Amino acid sequence: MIRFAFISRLLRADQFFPWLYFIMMLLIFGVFQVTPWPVADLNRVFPDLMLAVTFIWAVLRPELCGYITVFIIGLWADLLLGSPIGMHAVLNMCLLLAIKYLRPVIVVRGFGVIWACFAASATGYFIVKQILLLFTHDFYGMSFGKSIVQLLLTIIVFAPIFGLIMAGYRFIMARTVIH
Amino acid sequence: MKIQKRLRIFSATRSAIMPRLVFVLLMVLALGLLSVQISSPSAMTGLRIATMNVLQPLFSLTSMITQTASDTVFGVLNFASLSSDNARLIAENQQLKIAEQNNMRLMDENTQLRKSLHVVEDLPSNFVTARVISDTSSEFVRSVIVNAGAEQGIKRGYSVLSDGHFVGRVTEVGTSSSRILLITDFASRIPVVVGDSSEQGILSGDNSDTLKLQYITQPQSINAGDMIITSGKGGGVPAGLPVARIDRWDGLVFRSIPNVDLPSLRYVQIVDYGLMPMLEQFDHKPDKFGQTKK
Repeated sequence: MIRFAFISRLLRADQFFPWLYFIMMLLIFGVFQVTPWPVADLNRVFPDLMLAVTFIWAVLRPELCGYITVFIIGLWADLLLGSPIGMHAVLNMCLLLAIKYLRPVIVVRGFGVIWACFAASATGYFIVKQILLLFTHDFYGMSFGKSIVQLLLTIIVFAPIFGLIMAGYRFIMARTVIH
Repeated sequence: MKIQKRLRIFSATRSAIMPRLVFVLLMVLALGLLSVQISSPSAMTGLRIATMNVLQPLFSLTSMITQTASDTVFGVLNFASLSSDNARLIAENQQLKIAEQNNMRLMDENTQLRKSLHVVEDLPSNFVTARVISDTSSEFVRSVIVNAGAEQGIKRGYSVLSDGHFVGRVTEVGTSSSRILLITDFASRIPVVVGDSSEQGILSGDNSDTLKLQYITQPQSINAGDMIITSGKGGGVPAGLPVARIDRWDGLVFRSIPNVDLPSLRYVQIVDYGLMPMLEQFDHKPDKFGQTKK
């Protein structure tokens, strides 16, 4: 029997609005990520904002962010960024697997631990990305320097993005009527 | 009691196994999609074009906001140097006037010589200037999206120039936006000729900031700083467009630097050189029996 547990859960106001909020965040940050910036070379090292949003979503509301969700987010990222279809789906699945193992540590500690866990997950994410690049592209085209700068920028901007997303999330939850 | 206990065990086992099973299945699916995409890069073009069409207004809006903000900031920063800029532009204008007179004399001479030699004229070219609204360049791909598409008469395969220099080709065309594959992309291959030596080769990208010059027969005749221009062989790109300059020999191939700073592309000219009939000639699609039409 096919069960629509996810959909029926989602239709509850306290589930639907946060879900919609994170979808909107992914859309906005995704478009922001591919905006041409007037500073030369900034686009090549621009922080991976979608990675940060996906991480926050998976940590904050794991019941709304399962493997199927991150798989679809990965496909969306591939369509948006022009990368081979399936590339970000693989990366996001690995990320969620890592979060599932890190979650017992994350939930009981403060922001410092969340940030450290994000740094560890993001590093793993970038390493897997480079490995996938080795299989799909020319070795010479791999710019490790730029990837490391992008990783560092992603870890740095995680703090303000976390603050921003949490502020919006609290705003939505405060106005959501739970029946 | 026994049945209830068995049901509980079954339910616990299922809830423990299901996520792992979903993970494995989705991972296999993702890797499958990835291998399909790598073996046939144009496999999901329709899906990409649909996404591009939907997001085009959003891309336009965000790029306009960043452009306006940067123009304002740079405008304020450059305010102090207005008088020195003005003096420089006056001097530059004088030089350009002299150059214009020389060019007109050369154009006249060129027209006379062409007439006397009965040279076959090049096909007339039409162009559209478009704004870059999204820069999707990353380790995976080097491409940009511009705000001109089928509505503006853009077709797949058109050449893309910036300040007269070849920078890429149109690969996907949406209703009012198109994706341009830059010369630095892994999939880009351009037949070229090296300026002074007339040596022919293929200029290919590898997703780095430089280009590889391959299939050269006499590498000793090539020097650093030599200009690389399109050869026009294959019919996809017209001849004589400047692309890059030779930078160095890295032990395996010549590395060259594009003439245009590709990360700073803001406006491009999408040019129809009348080569589409030639391109379409090679763009056969297999019919239902797997045969290609000629």
